[in-house]
Amino acid sequence: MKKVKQLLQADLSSVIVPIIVIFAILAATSEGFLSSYNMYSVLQSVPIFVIVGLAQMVVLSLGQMNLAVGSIGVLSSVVFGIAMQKWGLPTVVCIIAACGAGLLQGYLQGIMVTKSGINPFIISLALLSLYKGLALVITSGQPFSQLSEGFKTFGNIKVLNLFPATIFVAVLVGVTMFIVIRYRKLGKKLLACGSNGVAAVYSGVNYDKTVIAGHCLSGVLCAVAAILQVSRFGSVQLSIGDDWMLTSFVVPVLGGTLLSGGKVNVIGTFLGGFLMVLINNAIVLWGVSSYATNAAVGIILLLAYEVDRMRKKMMTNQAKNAVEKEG
Amino acid sequence: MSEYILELESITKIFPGVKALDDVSFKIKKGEIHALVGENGAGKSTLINIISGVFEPTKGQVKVDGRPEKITNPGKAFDLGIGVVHQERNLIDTFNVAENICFMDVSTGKSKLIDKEAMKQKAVKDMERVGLDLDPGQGIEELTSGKKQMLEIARAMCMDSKVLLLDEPTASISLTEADQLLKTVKQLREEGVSIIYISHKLEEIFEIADSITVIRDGKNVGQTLPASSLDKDKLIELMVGRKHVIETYANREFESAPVVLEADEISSKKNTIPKSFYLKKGEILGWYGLVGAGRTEFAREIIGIDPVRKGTLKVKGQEVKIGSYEEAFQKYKICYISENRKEEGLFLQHSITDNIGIIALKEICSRGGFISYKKQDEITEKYKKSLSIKAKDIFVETASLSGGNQQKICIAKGLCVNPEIMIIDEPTVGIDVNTKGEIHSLIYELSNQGISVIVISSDMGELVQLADRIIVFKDHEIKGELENNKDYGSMSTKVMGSILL
Amino acid sequence: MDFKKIRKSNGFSVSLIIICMIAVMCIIKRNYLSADNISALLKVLAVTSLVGSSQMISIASGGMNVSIGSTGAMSAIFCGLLMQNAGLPVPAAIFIGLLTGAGCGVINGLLIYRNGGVGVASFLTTLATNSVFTGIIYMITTGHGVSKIPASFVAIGNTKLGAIPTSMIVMLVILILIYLLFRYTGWGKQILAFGANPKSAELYGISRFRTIMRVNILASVIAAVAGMMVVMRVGTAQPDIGSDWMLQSFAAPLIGGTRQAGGKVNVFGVILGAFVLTIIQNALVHLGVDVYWTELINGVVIIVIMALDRLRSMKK
Repeated sequence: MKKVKQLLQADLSSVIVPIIVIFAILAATSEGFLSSYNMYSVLQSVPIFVIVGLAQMVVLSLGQMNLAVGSIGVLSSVVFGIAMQKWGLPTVVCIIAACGAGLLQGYLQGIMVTKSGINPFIISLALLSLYKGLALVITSGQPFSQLSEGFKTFGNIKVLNLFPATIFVAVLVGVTMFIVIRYRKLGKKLLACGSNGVAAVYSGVNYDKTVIAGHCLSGVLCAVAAILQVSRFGSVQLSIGDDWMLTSFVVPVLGGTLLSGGKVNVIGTFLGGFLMVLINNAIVLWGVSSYATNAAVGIILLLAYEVDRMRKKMMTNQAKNAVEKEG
Repeated sequence: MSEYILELESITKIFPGVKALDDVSFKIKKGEIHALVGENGAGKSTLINIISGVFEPTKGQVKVDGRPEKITNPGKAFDLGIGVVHQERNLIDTFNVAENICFMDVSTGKSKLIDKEAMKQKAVKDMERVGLDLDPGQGIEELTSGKKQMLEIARAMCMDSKVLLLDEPTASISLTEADQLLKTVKQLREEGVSIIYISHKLEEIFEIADSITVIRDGKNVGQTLPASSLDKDKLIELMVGRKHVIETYANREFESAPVVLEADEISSKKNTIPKSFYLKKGEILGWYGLVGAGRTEFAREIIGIDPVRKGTLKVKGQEVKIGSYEEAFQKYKICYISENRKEEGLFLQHSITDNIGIIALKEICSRGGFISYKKQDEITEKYKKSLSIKAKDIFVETASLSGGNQQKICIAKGLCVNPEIMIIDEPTVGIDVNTKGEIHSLIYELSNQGISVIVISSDMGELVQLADRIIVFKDHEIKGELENNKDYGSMSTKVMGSILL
Repeated sequence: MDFKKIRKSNGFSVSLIIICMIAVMCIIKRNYLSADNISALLKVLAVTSLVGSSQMISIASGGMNVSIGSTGAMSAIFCGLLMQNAGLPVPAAIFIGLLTGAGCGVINGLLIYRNGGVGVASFLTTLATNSVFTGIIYMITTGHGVSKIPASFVAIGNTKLGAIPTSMIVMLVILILIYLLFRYTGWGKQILAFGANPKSAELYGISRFRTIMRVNILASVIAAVAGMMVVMRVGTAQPDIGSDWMLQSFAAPLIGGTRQAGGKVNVFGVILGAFVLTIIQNALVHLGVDVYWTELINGVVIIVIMALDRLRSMKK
């Protein structure tokens, strides 16, 4: 029991251990799992899960939620599609435009959360509808498929016959986020606001600015995830982001991010994304009804909650012991 | 049948971070007013919470009417006939007056169906008893805090309680309301109700109490005594009882010292009463007043959270306008340390070093804006040593530390900005005696280094020992200014005098 | 009640919006107020009102519930399957449907309590159970709807008394019961007190566990009724029932004047709120606007009405 506790205490182990276990079981039970084709498809899904998870993680670090991750993703990808197909702009410009759109959407959400006084949850929920609706209205539901060939192939390049190119983008984003959270002022401020907003103000942090910055960052990450998704499919589909909401919460929580705010783990989120993909893969390989994925993700979130709760309990126990020792 | 309605035997309660009660026992006779006195943080409210079933004691037992009872939840307490008015306001904002008064019938599940008319009648009757004259159908959001307090007392009384617990019922109400309240309490005693009365106001205690139990630092001080055997000085001695434990610091001379902070008739949108004072370099200025006397609010005006609207504020002789707290500590080197360490001071899930890092962001950033954790840890280690913060290392979560050490981290956070003026709000609330002494000597040392300190406290003993000068607050106004002669007896008479004026 | 008070009330302004919308529609479309359209409108209104009142109960207790849709779908599917495959009589099937709802409520309640009770905890917990319920529904149905629904079942909600469909009456009865619950019973007051101030409520003996369980069971049973009512309206039980309820469920009570932070409800306001949403949907269909606009307009309407509400409370 003590060992289990120690394992839980080390944040990352709660992701790494399941990854190893599932990996081992899959390798042992299904032949196709280790095939380079399957590994490639697993690794191709990882970037999107990870980046969506990071987008939610940034907002969770503030102690808030971003329900609109999927909608920001889809609207950004529509901007991308218009820029590329209608206006024929170069790929780099399109990417910048899409990220800009993500930033703008995040900014709007941040402004409304801090300045309007309306319940942040309701704002996020309304924007979820609004952004998605805007994407549908602009496109009338039509996908964009005449994208530049180079961009389409990028999403399906194989490096060393195993790694998709997109995974390197994910690693790059992950490293950047790690640096932002750990080594930049913004990261410290985000965590301070999430941990204790009043104390942050008394420590000279501008609360509103920090919250807005957090939402902006989250918006940009959603856009990046959407662009990767587009390059993988080779077209802008309006279903992008439909199933992101639940995933976006599960991934960071699996990786040791506290739901109550103030504590995040970028590496854990990265691994959490990987774990999610493995679980999805397991369901496919075992031939369980694909509908079971939904149920599985839900159960994982509930389990993650349980782990979260145990961590908190241990924290209070530590505090209690500290008093008894002193007394 | 027992002679005592309520008996507490060897109650101990440990919270994460603090041992609030240590082996406390006392008994309450039927139909008496039993005063429970002690300083802030002595553990009175914890006791109330144990009797009313909010907390379960770590050790010890409670007897009601001679029978041992486990009061596991507030509903159980009501069933046993224990009514309570907590120190914080606990009204339901969205309910009207009548619904709030009859709230316990609902909350305990006694009335399954609501009879509006009966409720209104009951509310009117109960309000009459405490001298309230409100429309039972009106909302409560716009009521004054005094009215709300009386409403809560009416609520506690409408239960047919055998024991009534009143925790600081007069802390935020006017004198006439307080008189009415004391009358009602006496009336209830005539009706055979036993009352546990907690108050800071010793006059009240001597006016109504039959017997007195003193609690200090979570422990009993001697036996329960009849009120007639005590006088004010004796009681204070029992309450404070530690003049010899905590050092009283010598008087200092500030005749020639420059004035660093001067407020002239300043007021803000929230508090329009003009207030003036000055603070000299290296001086410790005490702000005395009861909870809700407007001290913290005044501090917020100075540090720019509720910006000054009228009057002039001068820092080192220069007139300034402080619009935000950032400006206050970055430009004018004024720092404020909140009274709520947990709610407003610390990031509890973060380590000590991260707590310090957030306020020292400027110092720990290297070129290019990257944070140097080496520098952050160096700074933290420095404060850990100089303030002798007791912790395994600087990477433990602050939630796991004791109250005293948490307070030291708050002070360290304040010191990070190299302040010239520090405002420390209730520096020793909920902190044990030894650490209290340490924090006092720390504050004194800081003032010797030339930092001017304002200590806000409702603990008279603390200010007498520590401050060079004391300003007295009441009802959001400065009521007087006293040179501190470091003698508790004469100082407390003077302070009380200026409050009553 | 003097006119001034009424004029300032939330219900008045929302009613005004509704009247304006209907007036505009009447001008644009001559036969807008035809009996057919009215009854179609009312049938949708009945479901939306129930969905909204289910969420209202959760909001009143300081929580939220995003699994309303899957709860509704689950009851509808169970009820439908039992009638189609097992030939269960209609009353028994309805009872099973309600029981399914109650079961979902118990699961939600237990998990929400365990995860901390109010606010964010209730959102994430129900988000997870929503996904689990949806997964179960699709696994059972493999994505196909239940189409052989007995006519007597459909008739319960689809019969018309004049222009008023019976589902409307069912909805009104349930809303009146909810109104009585919040206005005249200790239970209702306990829920409201807990929603307004959980800490004080617990200090004075309201059980956190019991309140959360009651709220969730009640909300889920109402969601179950809404789910079955959709089956009565459409004639088949599809697994995607309720997939678009999330936004509506929050919008209807909040437009209707229920306090966002909990502790205060406006039961009949929910109908007004649902009316606004239903008319928008209906109008978009009549005007031949792309369905794509629905979501956008819903989002805008909620933000605008919430902002107006905020402005009004600031003026006070």
